[in-house]
Amino acid sequence: MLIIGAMVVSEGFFMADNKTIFVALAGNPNSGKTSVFNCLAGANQKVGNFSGVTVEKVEGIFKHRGYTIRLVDLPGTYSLSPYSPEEKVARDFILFQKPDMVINVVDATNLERNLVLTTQLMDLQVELLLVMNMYDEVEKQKISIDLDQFELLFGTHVIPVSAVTKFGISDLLDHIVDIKSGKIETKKYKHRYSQQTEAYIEKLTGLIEQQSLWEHLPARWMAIKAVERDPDVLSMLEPTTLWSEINDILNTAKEEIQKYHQTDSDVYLAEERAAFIRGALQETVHSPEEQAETLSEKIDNVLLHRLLGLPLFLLIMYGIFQLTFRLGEYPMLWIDELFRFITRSLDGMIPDSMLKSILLDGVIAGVGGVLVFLPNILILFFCISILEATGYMARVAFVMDKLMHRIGLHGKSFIPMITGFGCTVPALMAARTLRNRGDRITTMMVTPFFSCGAKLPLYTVIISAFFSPGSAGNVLFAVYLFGILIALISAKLLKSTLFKDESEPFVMELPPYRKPSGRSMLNQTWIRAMMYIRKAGTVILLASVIIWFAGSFPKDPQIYQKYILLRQAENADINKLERLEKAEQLPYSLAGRIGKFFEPLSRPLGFDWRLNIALVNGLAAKEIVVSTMGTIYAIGDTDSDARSLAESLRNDPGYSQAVGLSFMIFVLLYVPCIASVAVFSRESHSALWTVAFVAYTLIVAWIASFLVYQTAVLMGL
Amino acid sequence: MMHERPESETLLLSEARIGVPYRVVRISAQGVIRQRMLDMGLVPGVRLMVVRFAPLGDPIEIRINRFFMSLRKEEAGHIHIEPAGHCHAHHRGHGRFGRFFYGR
Repeated sequence: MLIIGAMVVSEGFFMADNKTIFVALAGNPNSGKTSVFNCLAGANQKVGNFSGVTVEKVEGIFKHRGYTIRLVDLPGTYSLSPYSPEEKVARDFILFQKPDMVINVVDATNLERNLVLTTQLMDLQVELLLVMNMYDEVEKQKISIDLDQFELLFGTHVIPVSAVTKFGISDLLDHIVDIKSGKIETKKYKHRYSQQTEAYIEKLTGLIEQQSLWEHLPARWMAIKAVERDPDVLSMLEPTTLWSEINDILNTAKEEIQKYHQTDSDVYLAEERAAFIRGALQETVHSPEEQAETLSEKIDNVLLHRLLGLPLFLLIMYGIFQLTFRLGEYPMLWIDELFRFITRSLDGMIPDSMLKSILLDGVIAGVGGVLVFLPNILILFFCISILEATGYMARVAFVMDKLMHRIGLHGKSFIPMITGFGCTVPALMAARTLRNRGDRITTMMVTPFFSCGAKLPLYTVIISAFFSPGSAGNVLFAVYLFGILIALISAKLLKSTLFKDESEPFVMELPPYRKPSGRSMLNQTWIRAMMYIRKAGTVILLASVIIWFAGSFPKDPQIYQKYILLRQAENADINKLERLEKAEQLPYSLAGRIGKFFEPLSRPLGFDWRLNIALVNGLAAKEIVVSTMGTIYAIGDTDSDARSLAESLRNDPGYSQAVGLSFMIFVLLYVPCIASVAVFSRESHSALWTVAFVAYTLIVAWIASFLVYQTAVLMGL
Repeated sequence: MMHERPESETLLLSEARIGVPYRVVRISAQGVIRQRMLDMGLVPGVRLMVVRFAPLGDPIEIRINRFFMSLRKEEAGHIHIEPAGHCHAHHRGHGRFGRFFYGR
């Protein structure tokens, strides 16, 4: 219950007055709640987190008929039980933030399940307004709903709307204002349980009211939850003076329910709610006798087909992958060009100085390094939001779950993992679709082992340096496969130790396919992009400057003097001299010293201090590994130079096939880049796990490279 | 209050056949999974049907009323069901829920 305290403090500042209406929007996942929210709030939205938890909170503030409406979109939940973070957040928000009213969005085509949440909201004794969304579908399917009778049974106002056609939205806005201003009377209706159950509830309610300890919590709700043996409510009641009396009633209730109904009290109350809903629906809803197979069922007959399901899914994934990284290539090139252009023009404008070097090689290179990922992220997230909005994401989990479950993960983990082959940063962000924290962290921890695109140039250089063209393909394939193997082993390890008991149950809805709304998807994609730019950008900026410093300082004064003289010589090749100076200065710089410092640690892997520098700089981004090696060997960074780099490596007596293999394995497995660490920290909300992410990848990389190198040496490579 | 059912008639949802209507008798799952099942409408008395198995054989897709959901076989192993036949839907005053409707 600690979370609750934090929420009260941080959100309590919002002043309530007569012209402000504080509304919470509750509903099942897939009820179209977010579409209704978008219809109401329009562009006036801000995204944050519910304090203390990693559940996203979207809030909209807008005006209607002179009233300011503050609308909070609660997480989509099937109930208000305290078992998942989303449900806990929704329940605590209603109980402790005390919104003026709760709007419950239900899918009118699937009332039987949607109304379970409604009965639980009725137990909370809140001002409830029921919104029947997708009413256009109801009319299309020739279902008739007796809304007047419905209002009588549920004791709330019912407003039919369609977020798609905007039908009923203005009616809903009017209702919100009319209830607040008192123009419309509502009665807080109790959902009545069976006589026997009501007897327990009344007795308990009386006892709880006597305590007057929780004036802000409805006593009847606490009584119902106690009968259901809700752990949160029981722990609140236990320390009280009347606990023995309460406990007696609870035990009697449990025994009697067991005796007469052969079931536990929570199941029994769920049955009673279901029975009430079924009865209410029989009175109010009339559907045509024979229901034709829906379009969704027809689509699923193909997409979930026993034989076609898997290949079709892989085809869709392949399409998304191609779109993200092939189509993304063009804007990436433009961004890259733009930053080159900026560097070039500034180069001519600013006189040579240390500040210029920081600005060009540190800051601008750093910002460019971040923004260059943006096209990938935008395209991938747009695709993922299409998968989510259409309802295909649930099918992905359905198709892939058996495989993923073998390593203890959820079917949905497949998407972030496969995205890791492109770029770890969007892959980590894609893990958001996993609701369970254990699954999310595990998936994020193993994502870097799926070799990202930025590592490919390094593999190419190493392979062309140490392996024959004939075996190049096989070696590359083996490296990728090795990464996958390490990822699978790591996931299994994490899920069978640290997250042993934290498995997401696979009891999951397969919602009907829906046409996604373009605006809301663009909106979501944009929000993700901004998050990336803002948060990751600052960290990377700082890191790039630090790396620049480490690579440039301190300088050896003698070498510095030597090159000043050399540059003064007639027809001196300034560019070449600069490269040579950099290479010669490197051992004296902080980076060089770090490389030497780590030599004892890297010797068993076959790396000397020069390779260590490349690895240290590679922390900024994997592309930098190759360019650093270029610097070390005083080679420029154009294409033809890559070949000469391979040649230099091959001709170096300190290196061999064994070193090459070991180096590739290390690059494959160790910390992908600063951007990924920043995003990991953002997405995990945990400093501890971020440290674990860095440490684990380093340790695994060291052990694997050690084994590979020593084996290769033994084999005489 | 409630008619006794002989245990022998019941089977587990994990053993159900595709396309055959069943009725839920008992939920023996515990904890989060049990709560999720109850929240999604998997309560004793409800009718369901297995629609298909996933391409790799697990999980399974079931239909409850007008709504489709999936669960793993290991989870379905905690749901006890009995054949329901193609007969009438839930009639008022019939079976264990009848008294609630009479009460209103």
